[in-house]
Amino acid sequence: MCARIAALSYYLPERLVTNSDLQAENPTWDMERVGQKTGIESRRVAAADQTATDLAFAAAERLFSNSSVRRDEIDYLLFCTQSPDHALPASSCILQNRLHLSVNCGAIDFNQGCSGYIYGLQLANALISSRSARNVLLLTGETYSKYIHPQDRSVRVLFGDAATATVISEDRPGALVVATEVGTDGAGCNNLIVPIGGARRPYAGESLREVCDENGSIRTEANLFMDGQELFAFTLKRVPALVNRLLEKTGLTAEQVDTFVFHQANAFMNEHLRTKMHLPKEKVPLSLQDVGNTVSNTIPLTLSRIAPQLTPGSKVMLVGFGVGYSWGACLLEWGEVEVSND
Amino acid sequence: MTNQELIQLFAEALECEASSIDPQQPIAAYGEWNSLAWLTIISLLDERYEIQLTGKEIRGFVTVNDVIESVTAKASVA
Repeated sequence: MCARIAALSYYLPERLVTNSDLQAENPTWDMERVGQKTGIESRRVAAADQTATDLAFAAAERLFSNSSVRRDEIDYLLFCTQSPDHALPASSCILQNRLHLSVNCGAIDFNQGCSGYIYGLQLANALISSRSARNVLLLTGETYSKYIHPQDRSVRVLFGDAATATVISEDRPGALVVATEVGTDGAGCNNLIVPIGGARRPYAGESLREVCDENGSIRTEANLFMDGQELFAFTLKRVPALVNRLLEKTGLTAEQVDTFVFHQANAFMNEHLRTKMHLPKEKVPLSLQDVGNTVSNTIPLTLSRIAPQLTPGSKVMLVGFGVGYSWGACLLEWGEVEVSND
Repeated sequence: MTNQELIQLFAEALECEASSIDPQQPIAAYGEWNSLAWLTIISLLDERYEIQLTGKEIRGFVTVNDVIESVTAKASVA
């Protein structure tokens, strides 16, 4: 049984935060240099009362409005998020109800970040191959902005909020999921983390104290913390090896892959990865200038945007890596995908 | 890889003249030697010498010489 991406859409929250806005708010930040390095000029941020399920709901509604997929065909919902509405129940159950999906539809959340879309495709492929589902709705939705301290330059300039929706189907035309490859190294868990708020370290007065780090960034332990240097070192170590493993598995050379969609971490890191792997610029799209790093959304968002330029039969490799540490890659053979763009 | 080549690499990352970098000076003396400059240094070391520095190592460096010694030691192992 073959699984194919049949339809794709994304949704961005309305509120736009530009580098000029951040500069005005934080006079000591050098936003011109940050913009040059990161390739990010603006990002979208969810409203105070807007959560990841709201964004994912909007992305899914857009998909149902603009594609031939009907909501009653969906028999499995996978929701990738690290900013769920509640500790319990699963946000996917809330979404099943809001989207009026069948009560015979499976629904689970999974907690992954930048590798999440690859995991979603791998799980959807497994559900379809095992005849457990016929049409899987894979949603990614993330609002890291809710974890970010406004005066933490290291993460505020990078991350943006977004959601995407993908239908993976057994009997529709689309982009074929050829093979996937994943990996994990939990030794890096403390390098991209929201330390408190879970069961290991519940909220307590002292841990909500604001601390200023050596770079002048301020955060509490309930905020997102990122060690950018460690993340960069991890990426250089794991990502080229990951790409090579998937190439070996599929019997392809890098030259035979037409397009590489990397997780959009920041332009500086992505460009370094590209040159390290000797990949030509035209095969490696960047799309973070107006949205920033949107975590599990970057790959499907980029894929939606470049879809009009992809030709049926072309080989597309998706590569995700980050928080966990967790990484994964997926090879697609492009086909007719119903894409809803802005 | 010579010390001078490394100092040249730091100068590129810091966008300054190599002559303005004194190996005995603490890194903290260079205002522009911030987290963004470190990313450039990590990338240039990887690109030119296939040497990787971890965040933990970076946090342990006090002077420019500390960085030079660490990178040189890694190069001799590789």
